Amino acid sequence: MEACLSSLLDGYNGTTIIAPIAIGVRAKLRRASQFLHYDCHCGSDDCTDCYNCHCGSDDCTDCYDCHCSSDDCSGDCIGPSRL
Amino acid sequence: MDFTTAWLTTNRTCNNRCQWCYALSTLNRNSSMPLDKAISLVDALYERNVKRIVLIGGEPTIYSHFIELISYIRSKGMRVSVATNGRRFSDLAFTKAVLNAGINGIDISIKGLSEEEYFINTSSYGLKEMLQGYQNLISLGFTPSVSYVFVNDDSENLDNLINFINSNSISLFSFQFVKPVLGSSSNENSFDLKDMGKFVGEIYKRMSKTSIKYCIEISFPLCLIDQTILEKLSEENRIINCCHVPRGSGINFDENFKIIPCNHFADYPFSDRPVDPFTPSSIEEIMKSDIVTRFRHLARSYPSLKCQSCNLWDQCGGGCFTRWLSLDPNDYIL
Repeated sequence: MEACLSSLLDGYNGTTIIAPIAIGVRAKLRRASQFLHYDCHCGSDDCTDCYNCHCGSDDCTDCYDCHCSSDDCSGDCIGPSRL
Repeated sequence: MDFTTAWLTTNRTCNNRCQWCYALSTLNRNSSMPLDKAISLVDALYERNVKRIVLIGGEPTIYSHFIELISYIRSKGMRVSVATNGRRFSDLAFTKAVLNAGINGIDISIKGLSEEEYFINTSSYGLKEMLQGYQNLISLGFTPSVSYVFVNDDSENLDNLINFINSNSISLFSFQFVKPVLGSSSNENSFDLKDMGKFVGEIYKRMSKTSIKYCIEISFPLCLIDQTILEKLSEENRIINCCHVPRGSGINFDENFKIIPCNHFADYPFSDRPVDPFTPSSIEEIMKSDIVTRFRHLARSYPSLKCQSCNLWDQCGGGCFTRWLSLDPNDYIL
């Protein structure tokens, strides 16, 4: 099966130039919903009281790093999403 | 490697057969995770500091150990959510048991707006059950998110969908766009990426006339969306596009404990060798293999040279990586 994945990747049509990791965009829709409460590495273990992760993404679904390099919301923040 | 989120494919069984399902080719396995192994895997992930587990399938709610597994994950202090068609939540006792087990998130995917359409799309009559399931969750004080996948440029159906959302009082809604089913030539790109970009404008225009809370999951390059529309959607925080694949912050297991690159690679594990959940180091062994390195390199690369100088890159990331396994990014990226 590994050969299958390798063959699949042979069909990749993009470049092989490593890009900066995109921070992505996260809607704030789910604020105050029960859907996504994560700890954001900030100690609260509950985003209901802030949800902003100090980065504007408002959603930690896939990364938990708050879209910043620090992986820690206590500081070193890049600020709100810029889109 | 630090994984913060893990996707567990508890079972490759489903009570639907959605035409656009990324795992359709695997549902004939009729297989599922033995509970003792699933628990050991949760232990291994806990030891790795994984914060959140997402249960996927197949249809996770028909996994015979669904509630036990949720309870165990929660007992470890980890978050757990599920991607589901919602049909099993029509059983109120089941719904209460799932909530009592401590589930954190439920995302229900709508497969059709009428029973006839539901059947055409899934070979099942499941709409009534799904709606009952949604109402059961609401009645118990839990608000699930609800999503709908556009599989073609069906602007006429958009009004029907909006009416559906309104008439069923759905409070958290996300629009999504179909992604390639890898290894299948029948349905890839039935919805052209450029048309997806235009369709986002249609969604914005029509949803602006409503008070529905919604977001749009964008899995294609943001440059395909009209810039004015994109800015408005952004201002209103309507956009979601965030994938763990380029970051390498997530890990996905199929029901046989093989590691797959993401859900959409359902039939393409990194290795034929499954992880031994009782030997956590076996995760490391696979994740250090050459095929993983190659995959991650490609997934972290610019799709097009044009992306290098694009000021949207940080937010865009080039769209879902799977699209560029069959399409040439230069035909799409502006």
